[in-house]
Amino acid sequence: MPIPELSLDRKTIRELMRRSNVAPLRRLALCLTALGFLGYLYVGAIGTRWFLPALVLFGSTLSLTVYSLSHECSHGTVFRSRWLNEAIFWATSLMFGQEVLYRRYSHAAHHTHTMFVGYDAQLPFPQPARLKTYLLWYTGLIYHTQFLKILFFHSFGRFSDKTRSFTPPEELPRMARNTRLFIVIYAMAAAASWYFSTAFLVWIWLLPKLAGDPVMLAYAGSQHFEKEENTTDLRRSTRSLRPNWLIDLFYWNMSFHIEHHIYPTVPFFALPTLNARLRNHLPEPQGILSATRDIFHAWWLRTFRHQAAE
Amino acid sequence: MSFVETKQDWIRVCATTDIDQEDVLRFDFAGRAYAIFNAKSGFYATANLCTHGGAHLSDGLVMGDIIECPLHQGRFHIPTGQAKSPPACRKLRTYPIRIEGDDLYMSINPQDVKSGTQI
Repeated sequence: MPIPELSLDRKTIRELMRRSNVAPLRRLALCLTALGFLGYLYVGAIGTRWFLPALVLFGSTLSLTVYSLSHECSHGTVFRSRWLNEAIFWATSLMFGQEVLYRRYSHAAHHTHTMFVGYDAQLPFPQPARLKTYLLWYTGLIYHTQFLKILFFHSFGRFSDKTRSFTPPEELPRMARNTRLFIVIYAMAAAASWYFSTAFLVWIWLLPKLAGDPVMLAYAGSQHFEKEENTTDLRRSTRSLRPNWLIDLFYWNMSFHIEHHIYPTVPFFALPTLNARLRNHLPEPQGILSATRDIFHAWWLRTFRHQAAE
Repeated sequence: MSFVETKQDWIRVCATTDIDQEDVLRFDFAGRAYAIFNAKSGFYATANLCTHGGAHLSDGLVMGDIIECPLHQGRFHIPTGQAKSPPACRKLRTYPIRIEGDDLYMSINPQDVKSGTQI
């Protein structure tokens, strides 16, 4: 049910939906330059006492970029050129660890049923969550286990009832084929590393990604954790973060998350303009630390207030 | 559209000038919703509901001869109704269109009108 104060006239929204290649290519160049610089610092810090902070800094920005760009490209809204959008979508989804069709269909179901229990395909665990579940999420264990499980089962053409609920049956064979292709590419990368006796991919990809995933998962979790369930008002089920140009360089403007859910066809570079149009009708955005604190605070109140009341 | 004239089995939809270049208009008739396009290669009519998630395509973005669904960004080729990009994978129904002077007419199967209740 559309909310009148959040509805924009056709001309305005058509203007905001317009695609471009210039803005995203400029952003991509800036993002890759920044990642290259942080990677250079990280490699230089190997064997020094700066190794750990450099690893976390490079890993976080790398993981956040891969996740965000894969998300934006799954909507097909990043580049005006379709082939460019799809090429970057495949590359980033490969690095993110989610087969492209599964990523698209599960994310579509997330947009249709945002925070509707039993229907939202990207709610990673039943809500309300326990502390142990949150800890498993923030360390990356849920994310990595799901990645391996889905990769394994989908490659054999075995799909859960949940996956079948949001994927048209005629797309399942393609999903299995793509998953097998993903496994072949991972295996080829491992085989090449073994053949050339190099740990390059471990140092430049695997280790930073594992070290940076908790930061990426904190951002991903901030979007909906502990927000209201089973409501069609996206302002109550979704959380926006306070825009920060440095973070949004790697997060691809996903800070404007409520805005993105209201108008998912608006490309990332037009989200600040969309925000300016809707701002007066949206809740005040939070910083990432404040949002994460709120999530744990809500868990605390749910757990201990209820126990005290009993 | 508040006023609809019928002419044989062709239904007057709107004036050609009512739809901007590369845009779409929603047209409701007998309990059904249709999308009327002014696409790159001409005027076309299709069902308005996306075959994937049921969103109204008339709220979507027209790019050349492609319509992108506003909810999940599935894409369809407007002249043929073919699904072009996931999550859309099923064909969209298309309807014949005719231009007379400045007026746009579309042909609707009478069976659809009889059974149609969904908008």
